[in-house]
Amino acid sequence: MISSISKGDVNAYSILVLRYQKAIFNLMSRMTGSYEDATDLTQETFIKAYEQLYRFQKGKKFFPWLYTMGLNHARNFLRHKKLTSYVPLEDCEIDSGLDYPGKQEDEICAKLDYEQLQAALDQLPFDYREAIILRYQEGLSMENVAEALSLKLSAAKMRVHRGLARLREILEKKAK
Amino acid sequence: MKNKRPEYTSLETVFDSQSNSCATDEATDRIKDMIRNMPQTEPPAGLLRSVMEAVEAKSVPLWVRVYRWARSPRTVTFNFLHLGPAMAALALMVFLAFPVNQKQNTSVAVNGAPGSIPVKFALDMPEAHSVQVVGSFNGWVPQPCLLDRDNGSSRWILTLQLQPGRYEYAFVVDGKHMPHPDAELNQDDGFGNKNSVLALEKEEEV
Amino acid sequence: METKTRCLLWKKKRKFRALFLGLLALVLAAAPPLEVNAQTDRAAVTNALTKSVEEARKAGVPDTTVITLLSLGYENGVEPASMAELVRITGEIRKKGLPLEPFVDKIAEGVAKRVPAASIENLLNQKQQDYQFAQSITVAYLKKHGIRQQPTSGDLSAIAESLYSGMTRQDLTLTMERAPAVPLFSLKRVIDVQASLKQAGFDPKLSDRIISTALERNFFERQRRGFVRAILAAKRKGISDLEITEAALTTMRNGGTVGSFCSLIGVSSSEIGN
Repeated sequence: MISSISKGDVNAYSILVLRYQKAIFNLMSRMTGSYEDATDLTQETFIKAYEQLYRFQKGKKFFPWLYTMGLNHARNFLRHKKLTSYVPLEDCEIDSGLDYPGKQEDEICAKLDYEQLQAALDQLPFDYREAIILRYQEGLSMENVAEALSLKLSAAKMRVHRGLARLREILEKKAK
Repeated sequence: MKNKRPEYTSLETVFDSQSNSCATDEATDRIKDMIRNMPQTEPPAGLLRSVMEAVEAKSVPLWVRVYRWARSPRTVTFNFLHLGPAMAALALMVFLAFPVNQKQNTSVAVNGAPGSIPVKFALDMPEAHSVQVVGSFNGWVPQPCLLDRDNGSSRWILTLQLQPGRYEYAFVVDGKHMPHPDAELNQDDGFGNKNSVLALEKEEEV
Repeated sequence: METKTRCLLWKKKRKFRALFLGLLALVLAAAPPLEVNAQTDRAAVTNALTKSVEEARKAGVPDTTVITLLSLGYENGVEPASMAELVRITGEIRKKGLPLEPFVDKIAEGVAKRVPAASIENLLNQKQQDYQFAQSITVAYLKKHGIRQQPTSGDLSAIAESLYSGMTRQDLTLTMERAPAVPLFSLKRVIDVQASLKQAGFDPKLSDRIISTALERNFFERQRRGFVRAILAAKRKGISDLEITEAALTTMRNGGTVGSFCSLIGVSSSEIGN
């Protein structure tokens, strides 16, 4: 009887996998820097999410819940492997605020392209980078960014704000 | 066909040639836009297939679902209805097997969230072999009542913690669906049966 | 490209497994086999489902709702093509600005009761029309009385769902037309009382008098728990609709309580479950 569950119904979960696999895969790539590890971790995250679907709370959005699960899974993996492929927030300082002289902004404007942007993002502390990616690349609201990163709303906003400031600083230095 | 560059693949496109300037906010906005449009790495082609094969292989066994259902009645992912009385009996046995279901007041916490109200479902039908409650508050997953023989009367009772709201519900008596005989209001379920209506505003007995 | 699959470690409680497997064997022996759904072209079905999910999400249907529906379909052996249509309809409902919960609840109910998907779809379509009707008369009522309030999902559901409790569209229209400016929560209680009286076979003219007075006095601004039950108990005891009506009107005009109403009609609190 157990095995007589209609095969066609599995398509239902495949929709969710199709929808979110790119986002989770890219998260894992950023975390591990390894294509193979990212693939395995992505697969494991979706399997885990399927097993825990019954715990998914009404009223919440699915992607932040899935993201949090993936993030924790990746962290456990890295801890186990004793890798530090991301720079924790506490080890970084912000040198400047948001005031840039006009000339330097011109240089940023002139020289930036996707490759440089990616390289700059890679240099960001993990917590800033993920906040920015979730906010602008995945298009999450600030509330959902906070939920995905298990932060208070104010802390999430701060991460995005400071992350952008730090990103500009890195790009400014590259442009020189 | 011309290969049109997407609007913000480069910040050069926003460079004002006349004034040769770019405001702080504008640069930040451009960075945001580029992040939005930045290409992502495609996952491997076989990833979906691998996940689905693993999901099928590890699909949650029936007993785990039954266990989860008994522990967390909010989990409305398991349906007994189409399996009839045998499953109803199993449900009752499962229900009885766990300490949480053996409280004297027979309360089964479905939603213990703040603001939830205890609602007692009581049915006078001592001759019935099994009585369950189904409703929009539990995804129409039958929850068993216990027969209470106190005070010289026999009533089937189930107490649930519900949020204020409007619900449809019914009893399943020996596998047959019926509205509450003493309900103030019933309504057509649209499928040929009647449900009872519970308009819950504060603590009350049904 | 083959990927390396890692085994996940399951940490589960195993102590009840023997008991469950034994009970399960009993159930397997007793229960009929589940229906095996007909297989359709898998790719076409996947496409239909993907499209419906995307449309629903674009329309603003929350992820949780989509997941709930897909899980329901999965657990209850609903054909994916049918599930695709039900998901698509939720998108339609959302676009019309109607509350989703009553519709999702009805899908859950239909699936749980093994109703054919086509019947569920027909019901949802009818329900949409009923909700749109309820929405329009409610908005008209609020506008007429200059009440700056958006009807909540709960308000709208209560008014629309009364159509399945015996109220006709005409009944609703008339009640809302003659109602003075009272809060919606009060109005929906009156509508429930009207539906209950109609279901109980109460004399329509006498029912009308009770409802009118209740509206005039805004009697149901307070919940008045047990009021309808008292009427039903009195009817069962053989008290006439006229006597009940007179007692009800006296209570309302004197600002009485449910308790005083029960005394007037000779019904005890135990008879109404209080």
